[in-house]
Amino acid sequence: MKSALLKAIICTALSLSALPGMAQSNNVLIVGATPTAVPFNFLDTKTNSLQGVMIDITNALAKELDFTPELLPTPFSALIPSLQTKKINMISSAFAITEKRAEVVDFSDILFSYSEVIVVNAKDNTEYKNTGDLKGKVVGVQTGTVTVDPMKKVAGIKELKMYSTMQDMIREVSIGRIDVAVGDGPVMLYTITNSGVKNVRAARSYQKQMQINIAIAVRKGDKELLGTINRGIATIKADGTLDAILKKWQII
Amino acid sequence: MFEGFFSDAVAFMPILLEGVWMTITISISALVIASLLGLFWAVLRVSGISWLANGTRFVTNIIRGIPIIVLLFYMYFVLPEMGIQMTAFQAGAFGLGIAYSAYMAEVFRSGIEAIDIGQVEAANSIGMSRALMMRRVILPQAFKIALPPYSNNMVMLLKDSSQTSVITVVELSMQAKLVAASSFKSATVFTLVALMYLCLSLPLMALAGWLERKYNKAKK
Amino acid sequence: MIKIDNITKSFGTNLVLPDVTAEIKQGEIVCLIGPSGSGKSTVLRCINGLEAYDSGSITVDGIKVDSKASSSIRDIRRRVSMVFQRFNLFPHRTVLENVVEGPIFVKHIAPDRARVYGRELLDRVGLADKHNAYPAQLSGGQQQRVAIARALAMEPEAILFDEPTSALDPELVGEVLDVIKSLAQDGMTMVIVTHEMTFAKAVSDRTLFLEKGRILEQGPSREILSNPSNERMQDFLRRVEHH
Repeated sequence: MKSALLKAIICTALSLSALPGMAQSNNVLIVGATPTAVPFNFLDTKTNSLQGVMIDITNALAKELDFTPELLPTPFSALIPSLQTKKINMISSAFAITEKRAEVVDFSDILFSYSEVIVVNAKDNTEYKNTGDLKGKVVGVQTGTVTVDPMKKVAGIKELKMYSTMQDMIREVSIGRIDVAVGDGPVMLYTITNSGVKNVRAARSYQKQMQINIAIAVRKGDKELLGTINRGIATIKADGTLDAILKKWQII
Repeated sequence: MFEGFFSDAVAFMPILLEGVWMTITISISALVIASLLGLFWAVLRVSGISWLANGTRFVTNIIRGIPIIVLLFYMYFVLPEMGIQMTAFQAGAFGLGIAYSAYMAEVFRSGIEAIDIGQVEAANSIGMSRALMMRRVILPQAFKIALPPYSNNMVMLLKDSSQTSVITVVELSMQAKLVAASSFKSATVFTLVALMYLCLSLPLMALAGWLERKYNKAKK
Repeated sequence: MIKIDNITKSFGTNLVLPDVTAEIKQGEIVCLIGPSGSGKSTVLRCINGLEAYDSGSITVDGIKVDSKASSSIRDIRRRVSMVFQRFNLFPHRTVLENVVEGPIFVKHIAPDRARVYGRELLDRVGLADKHNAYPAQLSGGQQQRVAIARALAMEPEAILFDEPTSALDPELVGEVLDVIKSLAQDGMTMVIVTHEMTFAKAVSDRTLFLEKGRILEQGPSREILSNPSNERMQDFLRRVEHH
């Protein structure tokens, strides 16, 4: 018993004594991402590796700018704090530009944009054109995404429900517990195509109300890194690398 | 809903097992910290020196009054602003360990106080110092009394290790979320994960029961 | 060797010992008797500092007994051992381990030597074959004899007995009294709080009778236990008379 206790203490001491490396030596940049948004970044179970649009963009930039990216899976709510406390150098994720976020981080040039998509039950024949058509409906949004605030402002919604994942939200539509789910276009479309959920359809008639811009975020005031990243972005835009990536994942 | 459960299970296993390893290591680290720190608090509480006892009670109440998530956030995101940088693992182990030290302190303290005063008098009468008495007479007996509530706390700590995912520790529940998000097979994944947690917690509870019976043979 | 000078002791508002003075010389065997609540156990526990007296003084071998002075009190406790009414053996240790706990961990005697001596002591109290047993496996009388061996193991100059047979079934009392008698024959200084009058008469040199925290009568045991002059003591003995 005593020796087991001693071993446990030694193991603890060893595993705790690893010093946290400061994220900048020798061209290693630690990149924070929340790999739960297909197709932006997600864990591919077949290869047990992170895949997605943002992964490919990060790797393209790394090649161009000659740094080694180290991906750190980070919960969404921990992205900005991790950046501010220097646990990560940059955020490369399904992380859109908003005014509030721009107050605490610095955004690079826009990588690409998309709009929101609304998903309704297959039996619902309403032709949804704009937010006016949401009157009297129960609407779901995903917490932390940029669709939340605009939806809060829409008058006449019967109830606005918050979900932690898009899958849950879409499932609720399919069983009729909510009428409408609103979320990032590419992710919603990918989910209804590939998740095997039934009884839902994307409302194609819906007029896009929002423009959601994806960019890379660095610590406020980190001008050097920001400049470097923007250079890289300009290059991969110019030489077609970015387009190829976006086509591959069907963003455009 | 469960079609292909076994083939999916086989496919997801390697990834989930990485999470299991992390869950085990961070739980053990936190348990060691919680036990040592908890013992320290308990000994101060029973020291008989009122400012020490009261001060300790104040500190442990504060720890118990803060949700574990908040403690973890503090360790990982707030301390850096005071100059203390930690890896997610360290912050997770210390946060979880400190949180549970308050519960362990209670467990040890009741164990110590349950000991017959005659034991203290007997130890005193053969000239033992307080430290020697604690080490040779009180704590060994207190440990046996404390074993059932201690093992309860052990199992709860194991389950609470899932909260460290909030500060980027990639333990089992975080791995589960990643796999569920990309495979869309939540039901399968989370059933699998529940079973895996049970594989860890049920043996712990059985071990605790065995230890309890073994030690109670000598006592009575 | 043990000098008690005008000590007083209160528990809260209860003045248990208003004024006690007594002396126990080396080699003496002194019994303290009296009704319950008379303070006799309290006097005993003041001698080795388990209770702290309020005023007056107690000295053991010239060292003042002060419960708060941790190193001098430990010194005194090495010279004066105690045997308790409820034995207070360490339940998580074997019989032999109980006996050698003090010598090994307090006196820092080499474990092997201590165990040899421990087994001799167990033999002396008639329990040589029980050295590996746990206290829970022994009868009350056997446990008390182990407790006596534990007290002897510290090689004390005096042993205090706090009602050593009061918690025993009647048929087990004799074996413990026999052990104490044999210690008396070996010249050990002893202070014994007891209700066993025949035993007190047989074994002790002097007896002190206490009531309400005062010594009402003291003198050679054979005399005062057969012919007490104090009225209260006469009453008491009459009430206790079954030995």
